[in-house]
Amino acid sequence: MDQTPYIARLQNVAKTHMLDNVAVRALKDITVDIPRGKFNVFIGESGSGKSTLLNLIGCIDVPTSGNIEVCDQNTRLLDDNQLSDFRAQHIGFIFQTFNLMPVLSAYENVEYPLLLKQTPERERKDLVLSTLEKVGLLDHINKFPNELSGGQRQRVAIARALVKKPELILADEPTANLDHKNSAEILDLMLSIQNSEKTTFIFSTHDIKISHNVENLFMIMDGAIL
Amino acid sequence: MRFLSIAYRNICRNKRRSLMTVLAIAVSSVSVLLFGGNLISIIYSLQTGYVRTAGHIHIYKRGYSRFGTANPGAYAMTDYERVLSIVRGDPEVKRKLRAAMPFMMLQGIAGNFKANASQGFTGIGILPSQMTRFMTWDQYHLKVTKADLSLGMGDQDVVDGVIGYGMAENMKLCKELKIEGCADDPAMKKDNAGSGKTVDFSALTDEDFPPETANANIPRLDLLAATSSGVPNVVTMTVHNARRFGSNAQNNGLVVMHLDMAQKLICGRGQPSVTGIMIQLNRTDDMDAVIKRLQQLLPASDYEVKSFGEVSPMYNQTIAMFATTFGFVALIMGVIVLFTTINTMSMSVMERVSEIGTARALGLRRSAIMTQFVAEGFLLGVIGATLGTVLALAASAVINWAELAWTPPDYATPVLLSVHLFLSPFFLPACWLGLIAVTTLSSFFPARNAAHMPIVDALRHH
Repeated sequence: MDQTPYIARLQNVAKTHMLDNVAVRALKDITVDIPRGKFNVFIGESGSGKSTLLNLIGCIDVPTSGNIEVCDQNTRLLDDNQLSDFRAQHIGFIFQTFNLMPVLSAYENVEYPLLLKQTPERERKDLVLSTLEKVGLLDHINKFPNELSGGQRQRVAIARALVKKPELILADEPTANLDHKNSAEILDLMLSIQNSEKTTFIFSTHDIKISHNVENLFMIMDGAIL
Repeated sequence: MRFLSIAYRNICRNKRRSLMTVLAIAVSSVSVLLFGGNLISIIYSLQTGYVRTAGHIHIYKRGYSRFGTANPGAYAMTDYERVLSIVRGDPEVKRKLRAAMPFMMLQGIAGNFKANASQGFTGIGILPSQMTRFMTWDQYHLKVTKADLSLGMGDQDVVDGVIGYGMAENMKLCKELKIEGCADDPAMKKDNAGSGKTVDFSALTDEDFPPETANANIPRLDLLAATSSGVPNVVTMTVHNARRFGSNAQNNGLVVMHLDMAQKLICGRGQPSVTGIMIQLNRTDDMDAVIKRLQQLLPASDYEVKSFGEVSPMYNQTIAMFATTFGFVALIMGVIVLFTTINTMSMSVMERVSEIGTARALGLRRSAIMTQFVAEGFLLGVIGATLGTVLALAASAVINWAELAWTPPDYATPVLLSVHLFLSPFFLPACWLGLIAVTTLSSFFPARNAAHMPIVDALRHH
């Protein structure tokens, strides 16, 4: 089947969640098409709904109403196991707090998604090493997360998202916990990877400076896209 | 293997907590194994004691076990030689047979009239050479007691018998039998000497078993009992030696004598008979098969074939009591392990909520999250149960080496406190697997909670 030009299509998507028995509308009737093969940035203040939107696109949350298609798949039609497999196959995640597995080395953290995809060992090794080389961490493959700096940890997280060659990488404020220098390096790294691999990135940030470097920018405020 | 490797690393993250959990499992394992090993030891020692003194199987004349005690004459077995030849002649039984012997149970009054002493006794007539063979049965290679088990009598000692230490004391035979720590009761001597309270029935003895022999210093007892036809009869028995029998009742009132003497006492000049035939097998495991075979060989209308457990119901009752006690202790230990592991695994889940969210976001299924935590519980169980087993083996070796002795209730002789973990082949593996099953099961509930966390909530958790 031919791919559509959109990596994600949201139609009238709303998300309401309960906070101390009070219904909070995190997203209000959002309809948006996010292009494939681009570096897409959602920019908005804290609490504007960026993370909720990325969670819905990443299939780790379900909308209260509306339809979501990700990688040409209507996610409402998938059960929990199918969603897990879908994420394992198609989506890479980069988190604000890195979220590396503390008991796994840098190499093993990057290898982890390939184990879920049941990639053969030989191929796995080649992929892990080449990806770690791309993010400049070949000298640190046996180090555990607590032995790495913040910037290095985020590079491992990028390698982990990238290693399985997903169609979509979701990066939820990946530079928020880094200093200015590291933030710039990480952003440059992701931009260069997107440029070379043509992987679709959906990136959320509250930092307006980042918007200068990207082609597809979506402004989000109070749960709605402007 | 990857799951177990990750599980091991996760266990090592909080070393102190994991160590405490492993120790709790190990201590439970040691407790269950040592207690169970000791009970098994007691049960097999008990079995060894029964089999040494009474064999595995008894053959009686039909109706004896129900009515024979009250009317032994009517249920005496006169064709015992024929029955013995059937038992010994059958190839299937012969292969499993260790010894077979006719025996006679009797009750009467024993008197030492030189010392004005008399008391009731329970007697058993046996063939000394066969009894000696019975007493050396040791299928489980157990060291039950330090006491010498041999009777010291031979088949030629037809007028001899062996009595308990307590009876020797009552019969004032301590000096003559040179028993250490035994003293004749001075009050009894003072009360009875020349008082005529004790009736001398030695004059009633048969000429074949004369009351006086050449050496008057040989310790003797006159035994009075009713013959199978109800007539009083007396024989004089030479007391070969005194020994400590197992229970206080036996020690104070049992007389083991040559079968010829017992038959003379009970049958008089009539046809010799016996109470029954006792059979000892090489292995207890063969008992059911041999009983079945004997029931085929001997007509059910004439004979009854009983296992030692049926003859002495206390054996099975004791085992049932021990099994219940062990089950109760094992249950308590299991519950302790269950709650300890649930607590540890719940803490582990709480500390790793964010990791659970990450793993789920990366594509790990709920079942895989569950497997991960259950694997950790399983590993804790394996480490704890294995450590406990090693400690229990070491402790049992020390206990057995120390040869500590204790005297069970109503026992006359001390028995060795021992712990045998391999006598019952399934005991050790069952305890090991049981503990692992408990820890695995108890990690299931926290694992289920972990697997069903909403991913978004888990990712927000720090």
